[in-house]
Amino acid sequence: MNNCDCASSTCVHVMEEDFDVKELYDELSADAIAGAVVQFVGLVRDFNQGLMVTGLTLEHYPGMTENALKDIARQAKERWALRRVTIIHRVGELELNDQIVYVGVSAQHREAAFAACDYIMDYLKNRAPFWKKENTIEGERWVTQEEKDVEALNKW
Amino acid sequence: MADQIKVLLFAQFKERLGCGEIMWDASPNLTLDGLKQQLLAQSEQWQSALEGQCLMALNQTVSQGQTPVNAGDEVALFPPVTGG
Repeated sequence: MNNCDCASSTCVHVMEEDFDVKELYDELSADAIAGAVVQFVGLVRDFNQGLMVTGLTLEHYPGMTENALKDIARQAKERWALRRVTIIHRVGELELNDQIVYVGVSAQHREAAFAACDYIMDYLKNRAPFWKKENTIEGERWVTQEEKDVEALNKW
Repeated sequence: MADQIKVLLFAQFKERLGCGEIMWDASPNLTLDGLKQQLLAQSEQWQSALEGQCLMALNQTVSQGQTPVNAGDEVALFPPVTGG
């Protein structure tokens, strides 16, 4: 269940449940004006910052998180001619290879959809109040922010 | 509490302190930096809890240290974000 039946053209969800990419695609593509849909899915990776990872816990700041994501979507819409933006971020306990984050963008043309999807992920990584705590083979640890993620904002 | 500030802590800060939310008395001309200094002055536990880069949000918007804080506000202290 994606709960993504929003009438508005921006859809933001922060939830524990998994999401179905096909369902989300169907919602974005059911639009005669949209000629392009770009989707990004982030997954729990097995190796991070030098250690084998077995799972992670995602904490967030309820209220601020949703507002931060809506704000990022709004900024992307101001910058490019987009049709729909869907952002989903999971919280709670996640296992290896689980889906963590989804960004889907539809637009008339692919250039806007590609750029906006990239932009939204770059800003999400720097502005949305989520924190990852990894379970590694050497115990639990909080993930630290990476310089490359901060630098990614320079391209915008 | 109308004359108090709600202070929220997240991630490492919350874990080290063993507490994610406190109420704090507002004082005249208080800023985010001033509030943080008051919190740190309480104990060594607070100083070690807030070690590392500390971001601050006022009423759910990331804000600079000189931003004024008033009774009824919600302030959050947290490390750099790592979602996505």
